[in-house]
Amino acid sequence: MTARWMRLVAWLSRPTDPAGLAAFRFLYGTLVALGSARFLDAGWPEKLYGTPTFFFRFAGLSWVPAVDGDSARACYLAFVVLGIGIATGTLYRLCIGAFVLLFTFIQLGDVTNYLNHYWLVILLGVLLTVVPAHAVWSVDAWLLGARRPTVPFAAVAVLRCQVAVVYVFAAVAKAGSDWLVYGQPLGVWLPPRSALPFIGPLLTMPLVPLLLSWGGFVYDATIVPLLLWRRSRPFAYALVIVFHGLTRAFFDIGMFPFIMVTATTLFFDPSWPRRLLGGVTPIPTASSSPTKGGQLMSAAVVLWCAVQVALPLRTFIGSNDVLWDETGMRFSWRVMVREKSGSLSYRVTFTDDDVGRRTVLVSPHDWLTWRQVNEMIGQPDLILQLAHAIRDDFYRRGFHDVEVRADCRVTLNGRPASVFINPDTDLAREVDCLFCRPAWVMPRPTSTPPSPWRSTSPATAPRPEQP
Amino acid sequence: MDRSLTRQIMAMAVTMTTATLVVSTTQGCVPDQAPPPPGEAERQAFAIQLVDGFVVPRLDRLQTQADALVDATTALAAGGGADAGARIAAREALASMLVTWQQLEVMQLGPAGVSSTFTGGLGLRDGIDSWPQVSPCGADQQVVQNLFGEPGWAAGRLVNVLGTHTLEYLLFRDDVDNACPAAAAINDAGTWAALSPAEIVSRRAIYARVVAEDVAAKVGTLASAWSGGFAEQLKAAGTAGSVFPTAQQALDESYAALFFLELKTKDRKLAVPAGLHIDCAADVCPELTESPFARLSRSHIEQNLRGARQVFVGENDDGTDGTGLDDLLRNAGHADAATTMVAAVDGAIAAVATFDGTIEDALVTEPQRVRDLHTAVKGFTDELKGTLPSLLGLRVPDEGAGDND
Repeated sequence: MTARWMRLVAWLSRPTDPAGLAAFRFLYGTLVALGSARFLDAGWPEKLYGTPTFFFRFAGLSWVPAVDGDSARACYLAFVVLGIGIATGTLYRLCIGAFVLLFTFIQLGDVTNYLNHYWLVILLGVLLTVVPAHAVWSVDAWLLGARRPTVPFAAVAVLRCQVAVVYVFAAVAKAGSDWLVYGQPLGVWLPPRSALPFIGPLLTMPLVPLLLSWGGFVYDATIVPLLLWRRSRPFAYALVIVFHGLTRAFFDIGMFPFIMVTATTLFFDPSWPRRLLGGVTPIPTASSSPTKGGQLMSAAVVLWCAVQVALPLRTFIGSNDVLWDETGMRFSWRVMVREKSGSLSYRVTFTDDDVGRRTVLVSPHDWLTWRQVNEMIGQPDLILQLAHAIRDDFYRRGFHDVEVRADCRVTLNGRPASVFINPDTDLAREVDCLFCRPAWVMPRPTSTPPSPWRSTSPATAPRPEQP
Repeated sequence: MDRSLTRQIMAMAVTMTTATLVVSTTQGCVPDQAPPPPGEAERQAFAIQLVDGFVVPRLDRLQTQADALVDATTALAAGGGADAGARIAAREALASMLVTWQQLEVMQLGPAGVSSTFTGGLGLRDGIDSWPQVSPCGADQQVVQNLFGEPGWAAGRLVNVLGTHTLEYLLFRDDVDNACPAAAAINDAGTWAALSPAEIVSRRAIYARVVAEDVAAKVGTLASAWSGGFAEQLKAAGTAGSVFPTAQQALDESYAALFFLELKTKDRKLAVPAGLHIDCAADVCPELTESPFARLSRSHIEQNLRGARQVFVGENDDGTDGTGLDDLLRNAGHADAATTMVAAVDGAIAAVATFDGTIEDALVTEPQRVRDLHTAVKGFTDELKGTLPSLLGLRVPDEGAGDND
């Protein structure tokens, strides 16, 4: 154990050219600035933070104040400035630290804004706060003496590990029958994209969603080793660009493709920018003997990576059906693997001193924006949160003995709609369970998703009688 | 990694980036002469059907009916509001117009819709019918002020004292009381009591004429907005030059418009008066029906459903069959879902059409019947929200705020 550990410490401590890290810092900061400018240009701070009147909170973090539209706009303006600071390495630690804190804060404002790639931006940002990514090619190195000829390899390795975790668990998420047997939800999502130039007509062909599903699975499962292996790296990086270019064309996934195309440069040789620019001799990477600091650093890297692996694995503790009950769905890199829609209304039974015991219906549209409704309708913990908010509202109105039940039917990956929440459960009395499947979530329907390659012939499909 | 390998990577990256950027950024740039792919073609057919088979014929009819309503209210006003025959004619003219209007209510996209949700949205709907934002008390205050004869009067008023529901109030209220509470200025100061019954009737008739003229003008504006370009834009969805870059976007917005059935027909027109909504503070609230004066609430709900059905099955104005959402479902291999949804809307229509008497009366005598009606409509709206978007990849436009992953 000790010998292995010391070998690991030595491997992580070996001096490494910081050029690749600096290039990633530049690309990350540029994406932060451009992504935030795009966000501002689309008016999303107002739509996502200014329009809603109710905000879903992350468990245990409801004390974090929600931001309003103006504050969100100010935050995104700050991100543009901080992104430039990160890219140029100007007051780097301050900029990256402030960005991570502020970006995390704003993401805590409403769970329905959660995106996997925002989570990735935060994680990469946390790592960039720690690693010396401003060691070269930065204003800090130029003016403030931050220049270092080498950095420990751990700085690169931990970032690589982070990116690898995303791909590996994205592959794990796809390893299910919906994706690999029925080609869903791509079978639902791709045909409406038939207007895309050149490839659009292909998307209406029955087998294409299934083929692309397999392509996505194989890509996610193999891209990390392909990027790590020097000989396959050019081919692998071309694949990265094609894959993420296509996802950009197919889906509204914002900056995600750009983040991944950027992040995968971390798998290149750390000196790749110098070689690309030409002329400068790479810094020799002689190994150094393990030090106490090196051991501490290595322990931190191992701990970080272990947590990043454990976090998505929690899905398997509480549930074996995450697409349906969403237990452990967030932070587990299950990117674009489920299509849910449905109907939801709350039945609230209460005692009104003037009328007696009565039951009314509450639509989520009375509380939420369209976007929030569409996001929360398949997520039990959010359904529960709104039930509690409705309960509290009824108590505030002076009613007593409030019970809240949900009539909720949901479709998963094109299946017929099924009852999602036990309609007899009084959600007002239920509490959220972080790592377990709520007992009031109904079992997943036994029906299978539609098979795109076994479409009913339009000519033979029955039509109803016209009245 | 040696230099040649690095350059090899960069060369491949540049090539592949260029190729994928071409694919991902040239959406909507297919030459006009290129035939649309199968899925896109049927979505375009749906958009054309929606325009030519549903919206435009109804707007034409609505304009004729709105003009007839102006004539009828002009005759009523000319007689000081006292001519019973003229009053009946005006009421019938309004009721006829509302049949068409209530069908159109489920497809208020484009100029009728709001710009934050609909492409080409001008918010013209509320000028014609602002329900549920209506104010009978506000209308009575206008009667006291008696300023309708001034040029541009309507332009300076809030929509809740204009539109078809104000017309309903003015034409169908038989007594000369007002809708304001005792503490309201017109009662407290005695300005209402100072008006003679004949004066109130006369002023209401003139007010009705002015509102009818305003409604007819706004129907004209809406029809012109469609004929003046929006109809062609919608029909050309997915082709170069259209404000709808893809026919799918046109489909998405049509789908969003259908949510009128969920949010207004089911949740407001039925749930609130049936006591199923907290806005009703009692067991039932007959006064909160959509049409408490004309008692046409049942008809309005029926026309909403009929309009939705015609859009869903692609029925032309003359009853012939065109391209509807059901065809899109069938062609995508979901014939069962199409059949289920048609059955659901037919069930809801049957429940409303066979509803004996008015909803206003039933709320007093047998409120459960109205709640059953709510359940029947919910049967269709649940399918609308659950099955349909999932199978056709539909998105509500407002969802476009932010990204996905």
